[in-house]
Amino acid sequence: MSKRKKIAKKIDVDYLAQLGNLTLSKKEKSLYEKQLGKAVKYIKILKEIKTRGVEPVAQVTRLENVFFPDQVDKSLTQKQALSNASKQRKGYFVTQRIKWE
Amino acid sequence: MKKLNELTIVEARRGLQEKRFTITELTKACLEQIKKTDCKIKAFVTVCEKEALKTAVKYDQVLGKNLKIYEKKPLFGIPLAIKDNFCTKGIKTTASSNVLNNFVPPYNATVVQKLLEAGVIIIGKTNMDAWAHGSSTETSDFFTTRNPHDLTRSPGGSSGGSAAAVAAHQVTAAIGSETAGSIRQPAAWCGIVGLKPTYGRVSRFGLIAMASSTDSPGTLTKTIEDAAIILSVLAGKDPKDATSNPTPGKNYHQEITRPIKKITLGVPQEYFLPKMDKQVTAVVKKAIKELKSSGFKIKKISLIDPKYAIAVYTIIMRAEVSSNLGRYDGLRFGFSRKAFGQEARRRIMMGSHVLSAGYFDQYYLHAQKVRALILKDFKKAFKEVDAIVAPTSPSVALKIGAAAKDPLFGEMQDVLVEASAMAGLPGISLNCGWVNNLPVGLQIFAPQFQETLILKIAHQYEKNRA
Repeated sequence: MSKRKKIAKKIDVDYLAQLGNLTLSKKEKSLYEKQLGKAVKYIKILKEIKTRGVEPVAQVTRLENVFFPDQVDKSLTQKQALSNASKQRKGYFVTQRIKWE
Repeated sequence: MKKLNELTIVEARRGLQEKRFTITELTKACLEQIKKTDCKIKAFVTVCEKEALKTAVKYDQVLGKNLKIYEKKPLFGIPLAIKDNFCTKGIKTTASSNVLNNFVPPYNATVVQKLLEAGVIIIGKTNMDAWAHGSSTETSDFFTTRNPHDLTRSPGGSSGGSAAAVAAHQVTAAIGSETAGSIRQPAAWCGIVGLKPTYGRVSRFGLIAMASSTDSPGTLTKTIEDAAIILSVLAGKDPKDATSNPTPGKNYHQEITRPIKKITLGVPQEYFLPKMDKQVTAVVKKAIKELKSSGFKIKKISLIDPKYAIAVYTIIMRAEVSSNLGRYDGLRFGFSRKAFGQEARRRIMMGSHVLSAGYFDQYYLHAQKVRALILKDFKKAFKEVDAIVAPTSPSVALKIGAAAKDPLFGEMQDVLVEASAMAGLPGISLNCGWVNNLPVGLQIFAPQFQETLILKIAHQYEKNRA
């Protein structure tokens, strides 16, 4: 395998950190690159199993269309909901400004 | 004679009803054992001493007036520990993560609510792998719990604190949660009983989510009967958890005393791994022989090699972890995402990888298809046999430090329980012998919602050994 191909196969930890909203140190980056590479190598074992025509399963007890009755139920009070907030103002959570550039 | 903190739920209830001791004495005995032993074992993140004693005094007065209270409140005055990923109103709930080190839930998990209504006394919250990510409690952001049978070894995980607390007689029983192995493996390593009910049998509302498609609350107890008593309290539909199952729960304690019909137990050859500890294999094979001589029919069966379940589990669990941990923004509760430990970071990134564009079909979708094949495989096996028995873990408790060497440590340790967890099957682990003074676990699992059957088989085995 050429060096270029090897690089292309490396896991893009910067991209994954961005998707997970995580900040990584330089040391973490190289560590995770290696460790995630090892994990990905292991899960490739599943290629040995043929799944043509198999329907995927996400809900193992096969429940479908579970609805709530459409009625008002008890819920937390505003004070309770805000009890763990890092910052609050006039009964609201204070968040950072969200801006797309 | 047993000390009060060493009693089982059944024994404690009897003693309380016969007025041989009080709820306060029972609670104090547990708290004293914690004071004496927890500096070494480190099973608890939070101990609720004051509140527990206050409730105990109050309950003693109630019990004095009404001995029949156990008909309505089967766990009245029983000291219980709860894994720190179940929300407890007014009691700090951390999931052993720095992200939640300041989180005091304003509500109870359904499991906690049901236990309180049944009369338990919450002694404290137990240590775990942070977010339940691991099989040794070594990923806890706070400290590592030690195995009461050998303090240089791990109690297993992620419900390691709960398992160690029960094994060290710090509490009468404890609550844990399992995604794939987190109840059964620590139960095996600590020599106690671990019951993981069918997915959906017990509500997940208020349980800090790891992998929502397999998370199952369950019990860590000293006996099978105790597991049956707690499950009777916890089982049932919860409108707050859409995946909780409408099939009604039962009085499992009553059920297990009924006579058992002719049962065939399957022994999957693939679950005796070639690299497994030979002494563990020998102990489990001996236990299977004991089951045979006590009247069970034993049949060799073949299942999909568990090595594939490791890969299916790794993909699906990490995908769900990356999604579930997305909610922690440090604004509404908890600290910011900077506080995530290494294991959580690894799992979030791996999950994002298998779900990301270009890899979704190759990994996540494919894994969900193999999961369908695993379900089919079990369905086929259960046409031939009623339940399946196998070792719970490929080894006895490992030395502290073993987890740090392998980024897939948890998945590898739980190899023998992952397939059944991915299929949502109920399973139990109970002690079946010892290797070098360390306990070995035998697991029994059955088709979905057959908790009664596995409890009956386990109860019969426990009785025959006693």
